[in-house]
Amino acid sequence: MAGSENINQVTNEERELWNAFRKGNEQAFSDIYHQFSGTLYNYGYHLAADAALVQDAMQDLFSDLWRTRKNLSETTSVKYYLFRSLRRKLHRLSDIKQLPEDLYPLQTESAETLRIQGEEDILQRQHLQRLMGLLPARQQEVIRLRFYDNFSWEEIAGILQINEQSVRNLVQRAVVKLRELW
Amino acid sequence: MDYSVYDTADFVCNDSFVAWIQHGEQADFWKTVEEQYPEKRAAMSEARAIITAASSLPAFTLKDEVSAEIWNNIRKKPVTRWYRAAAAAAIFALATLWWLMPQQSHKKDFVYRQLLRKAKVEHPVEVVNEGKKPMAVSLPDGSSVLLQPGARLSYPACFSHGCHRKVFLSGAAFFEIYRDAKQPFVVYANEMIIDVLGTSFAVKAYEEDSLVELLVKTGRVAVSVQSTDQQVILTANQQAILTRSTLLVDVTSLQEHKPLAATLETYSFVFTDAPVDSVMKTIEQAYGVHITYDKALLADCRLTASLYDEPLYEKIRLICKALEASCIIEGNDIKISAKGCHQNVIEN
Repeated sequence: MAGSENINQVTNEERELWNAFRKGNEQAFSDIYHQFSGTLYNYGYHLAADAALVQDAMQDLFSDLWRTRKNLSETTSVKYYLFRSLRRKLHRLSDIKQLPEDLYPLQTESAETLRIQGEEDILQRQHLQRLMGLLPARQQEVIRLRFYDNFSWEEIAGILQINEQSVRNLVQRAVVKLRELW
Repeated sequence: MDYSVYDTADFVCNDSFVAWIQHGEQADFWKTVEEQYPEKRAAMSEARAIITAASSLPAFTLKDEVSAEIWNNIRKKPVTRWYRAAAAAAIFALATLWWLMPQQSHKKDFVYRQLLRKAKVEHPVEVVNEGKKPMAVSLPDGSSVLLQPGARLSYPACFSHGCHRKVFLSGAAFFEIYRDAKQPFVVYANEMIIDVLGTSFAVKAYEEDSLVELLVKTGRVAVSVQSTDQQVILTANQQAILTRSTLLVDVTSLQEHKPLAATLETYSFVFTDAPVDSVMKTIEQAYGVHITYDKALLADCRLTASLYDEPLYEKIRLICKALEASCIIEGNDIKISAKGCHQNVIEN
């Protein structure tokens, strides 16, 4: 199963990587791209459901990053910075307030892997994940950022450009809705 | 901290509780809470289930080659970005034109057209059954599809030659998929997405119906629903019904639905010491194909065969092998040239 890294606190390694990149180290830039491209794409696709658009936004984001590297400050979390920037880019490139309606591609879990896992065990989880897919887009996004991408409440508030209490309220409402549907 | 006022949502929002569920941190503390507040166990267990499910949501993966392409573009000069935008605009304009044109003539295929457009299938091959009988369609990978009257099916021209085996269906059809673990076979039917390894199943996806129905005869398939994270696994003799308005899938076992099981029997091919003539008739009727052979020569021939989820043409091939005959297949016409026969048994 994908997901659940540790909380996104910036490690020394990450800070060094970021600083090396700011000084123009191409290897550091490449490392940052390769470390975060997968999770960024997943986040972007959930927002825009358009593979080409997300790829374009990622391309723009990293091109800008390289071009403006000298003006960048130290960061508390590279992942947070990238998520927030990608969201802005996608907002600019398209109207993503609408629910994604594109084809849902194949899940990372193939029929084969599901077969291997204990089916009993995943039934309830699948059921809940199915219900989560029915929540309003914004509630889904907050749940994903909090539990899948492990951002803090403060970081989520920063990414969505709303206050922390509103983020908590979105999760509260999502839980109420999930319990209704359960 | 007083947890007596906590509800499920409060636990879900509590960072320390989340850290316990996700990483096992402060386990002793939370176990004590569980003991101190037995009336909160239900809420805690709900919160646990929600956090666990949310932490392992299915992800969209960026393919390595796509990631590499983006990386190459990033490292190029910014000029290329202009071309990209122009190319994207041109493709969009073409796609819009292409989408608008057939819309007038195929009002009932709106969702199907939309699926094709969104999947960006270039030069699809389309088969439409405009007749009144089921029509057999052979796909380039050896799979076969029995299209019901009025049904239409599309697939990319590069099908099984490098691109994924995916087909788009509007209407009802019975599928027999050629087994190829390396190339998954995917059917898009209205909002339902059927992910197949090698199996046989029937799909009913009429644009005007409120449901999309799937019956699995053999093997296993994974069913997911567009725009949602749902995924269910179906095994032989199970049925999935997707309610299009709510996008929820219900799975039932066919044992509980005798009449439905009976409809699958239509596609059963178990012959014990059967005259060749009756075998041919069964296949002709089931697939709507026409088989030509020397009836006088094969009049006394008998076949024993258990054919299940082989694609039609695989069935024909097996029969021809047993009869030591040569077969020529041209669309719905099958020509069998045999020299005679002994007792023939098909071992499958």
